[in-house]
Amino acid sequence: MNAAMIRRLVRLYPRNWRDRYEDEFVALLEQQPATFRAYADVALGAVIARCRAIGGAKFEGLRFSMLDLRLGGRMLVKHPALTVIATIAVAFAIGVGSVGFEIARQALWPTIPLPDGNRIVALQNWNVADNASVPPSRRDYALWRDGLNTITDLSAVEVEERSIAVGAGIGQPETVANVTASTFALTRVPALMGRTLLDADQRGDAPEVVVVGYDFWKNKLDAAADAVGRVIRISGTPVTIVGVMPRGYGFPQRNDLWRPLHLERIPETAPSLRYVIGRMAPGHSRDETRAQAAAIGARAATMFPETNKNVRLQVVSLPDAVGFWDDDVPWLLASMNVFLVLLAALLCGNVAMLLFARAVSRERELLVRAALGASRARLIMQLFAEALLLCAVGAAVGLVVARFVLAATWTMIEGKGGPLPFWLNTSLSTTTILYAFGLALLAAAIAGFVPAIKVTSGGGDRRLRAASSGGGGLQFGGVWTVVIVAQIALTTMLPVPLIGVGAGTRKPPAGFPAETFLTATLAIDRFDGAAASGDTVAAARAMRLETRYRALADRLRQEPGVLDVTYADQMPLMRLQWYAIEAEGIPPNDGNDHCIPNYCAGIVSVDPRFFDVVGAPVIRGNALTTSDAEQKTRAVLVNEFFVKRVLHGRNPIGARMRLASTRDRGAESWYQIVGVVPDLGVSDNEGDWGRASVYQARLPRETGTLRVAIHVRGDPQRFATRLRELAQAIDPALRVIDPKPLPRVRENPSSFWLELLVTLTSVTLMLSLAGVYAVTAFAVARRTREIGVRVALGAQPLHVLTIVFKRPLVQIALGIGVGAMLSLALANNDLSDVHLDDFGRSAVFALSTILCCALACIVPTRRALRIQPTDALRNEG
Amino acid sequence: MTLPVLSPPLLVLASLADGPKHGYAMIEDIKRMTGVTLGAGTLYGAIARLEESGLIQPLRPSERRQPYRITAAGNRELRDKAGATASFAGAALRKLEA
Repeated sequence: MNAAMIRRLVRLYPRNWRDRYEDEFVALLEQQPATFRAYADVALGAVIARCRAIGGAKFEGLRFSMLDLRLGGRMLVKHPALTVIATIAVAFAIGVGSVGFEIARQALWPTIPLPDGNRIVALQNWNVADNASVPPSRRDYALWRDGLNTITDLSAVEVEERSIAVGAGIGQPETVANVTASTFALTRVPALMGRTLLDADQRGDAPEVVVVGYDFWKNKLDAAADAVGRVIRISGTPVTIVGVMPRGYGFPQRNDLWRPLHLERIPETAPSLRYVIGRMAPGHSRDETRAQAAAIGARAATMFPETNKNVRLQVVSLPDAVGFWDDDVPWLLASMNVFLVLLAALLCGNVAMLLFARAVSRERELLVRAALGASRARLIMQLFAEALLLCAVGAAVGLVVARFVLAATWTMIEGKGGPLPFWLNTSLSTTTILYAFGLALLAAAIAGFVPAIKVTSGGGDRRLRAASSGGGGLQFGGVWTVVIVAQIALTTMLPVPLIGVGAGTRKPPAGFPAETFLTATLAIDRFDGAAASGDTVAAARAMRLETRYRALADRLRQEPGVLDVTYADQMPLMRLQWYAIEAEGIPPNDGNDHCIPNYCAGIVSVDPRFFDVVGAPVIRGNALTTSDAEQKTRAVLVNEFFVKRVLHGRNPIGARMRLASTRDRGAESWYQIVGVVPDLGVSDNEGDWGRASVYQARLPRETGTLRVAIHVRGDPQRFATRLRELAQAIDPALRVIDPKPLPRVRENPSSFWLELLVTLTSVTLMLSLAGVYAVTAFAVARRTREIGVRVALGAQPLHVLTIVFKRPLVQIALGIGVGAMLSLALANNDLSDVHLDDFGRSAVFALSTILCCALACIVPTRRALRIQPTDALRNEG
Repeated sequence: MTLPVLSPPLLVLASLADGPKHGYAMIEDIKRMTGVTLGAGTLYGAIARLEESGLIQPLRPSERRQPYRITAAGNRELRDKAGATASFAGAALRKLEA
């Protein structure tokens, strides 16, 4: 090889490598042929040697030992207050972050906890013209079962509400899944006790049997060992329990009762099945299954154009078929995680400030260690080890708490959206635990490395001199100003979400003594046995429900504690169904059919006696009559708010209004206003369009949903059991759903969110304030010597205070300013619903921050001012 | 046990197994044994790592050539790695013969 080239190449190697190997290496190279490969090999060797030099020397200190962790542990014990605050902050950040991540994971990527659960699929009819799914019919099921060989154990499921009575108890509404026996073969889960359903159970003449779930067995049957063989009553019909399913089994949603589905009793072509579910056959992929399903769907569209013309057969996952989440919720949950990570980062910034303050107080110790030969990397790793230990403890605490918070969150979601699907659970997955440890590492990096790098930066000699002279070499500079400003901005912003939730939780006035009313929904079960097939016409069942209601109302009126009974499809205090409307003589809303203020009202179907029973009779015009209900006249009552906002105060009697959507029907579409009633349960926070109400008289069978209001003496809740007893005595198939005092129909499902947000906000605020106080107090305390000098030079206390306050006050002002701007941007969507007290809450938080900072400045400054200048100088020197 | 590949450090150890050698001799020996020609950069990268790990040791230099010898730890390392390779080779051959 060329000697000059060899010299150049060897210079690429690190110095210490050259010192050791240069002579012999050059001697060898001189013997090597001058090829491209030989040169490239030498150059690559230089790169590798340099990397090894960096890894082996400069970053040698970036390995921490047990000694570092032991020292870290000692420091944590030595400063218990800081350790507790920092651990709470980290635990809080990681706990909340883990819960958010687990919920998003289960919503976005659910796993079915059944053997080979990922091969379970559902078949779904999709109408491309309506862009909506169509429930399958018996004919569809038979066609799919016979035609698909890529899916096995195809099962049909029908879900319905039934009145279930155990022993001598009164009937309670429960959800029952009527399933084909193949369902249990599909799920491959054997019964815990007894047996699952058999094909023989589906025969028309088979005895009535039911399989119950673990929760039903435990809660309703007291976990009786002899549960199998017992008889319960479903809609009054005795049914024998033949099996109990194991804990956690709730296929296909979260079901607890399974009865055999008698296919012959349901109409052949009516879309009456809830789900058709199967398992992909071994050796077949999802694509093959989809292709075959599409072919069968196309054949059905040709064979049955009257029902299947625009229908496509799709293969979807079980969670997609059940559709527990609204379409946008999973992605909302995912984006919520971004906020939670930011929150975690900010809290860790807070911890970093505390650790920095502590590290600064150890500045001399660190400088001495550096002077004794510890590299910067060693010092950084020492401080990082402390933060890592702290974050590991915080993560462990956070994960324990997360488990409970997750359970509480699921309970809240269940309260709002109905029973959770059986595949959602309260345990944290391995992925989430790894995520939590990732967060802990992030927290340790923020809380450990940032202060460590800051505290070890700058020339050691210069800092040693500064520290020795008592001046304090380190200050809370630009980085910490950003952290403090962000912290205060968040503190100011955090109450903003409470504004919306707070507005939602304010209860509107009922306008009548609602606390003396018990309300419940009435429904009637379908006929059982062979008669079931004759009870599929909704009108026939509605007629039966009306008869039972009238019997129940008569019976109730004879009860000593009952004053009267009435009904409506929606009760006052409930959120009404709103419709776009137009009033005669009022300029129309440009053909816009959306609900906007002054062109929107809730339409309620009521008992003609409704307003007399609730004690809020008509205040102008006439009341509705029974003949209005019987003849379905177009006479309506409106509330005072309707007169004020929709009719602009005009005389309402005789005025006409109609639904905007029925405009094309001409004269037939108009309703005539015959009277005005007081505003009942009108909320002042639903926007203008939510307060106008229109009432039409309807018979019980025509209300759609039949809700009763029973005026009682005393506590309405106490009457709930009696109501169920009376209903069961009239007809075991009559279900009383959710009886509760009328004011509680307004119970806000988001109260858990409120509690959660209040907790989240309070803890963050507390930690933020603790951090801001500690840092401000520390920064001021470090200026003791400077204050001493100023006082010695004749400075007035007020002047000293001004100098000391300047920096913290600028930081606070910046923080509050940024926070206020962001708050306004967030709240700007609908300020009409925001009350002054909502902003008051924000102002209180901002004021707390200012007070906290002021306190943090005053206490150490006063202490510094009390010290004699000579003492201050002597002590610090 | 993970099967060791014929890495440069292993080749250097194998070359020194029958006695001390300097760089050029090692390159020639390895070429004879395996047909692989190590570049000088690769060879000295391996030598530096082996020396750092205490698996080889420099001897007294003669002129500008620096001979190395394998240490007891190097011998153990070579035996382990070579044994694993031989065991793999044997298993593979048996499969071919079956």
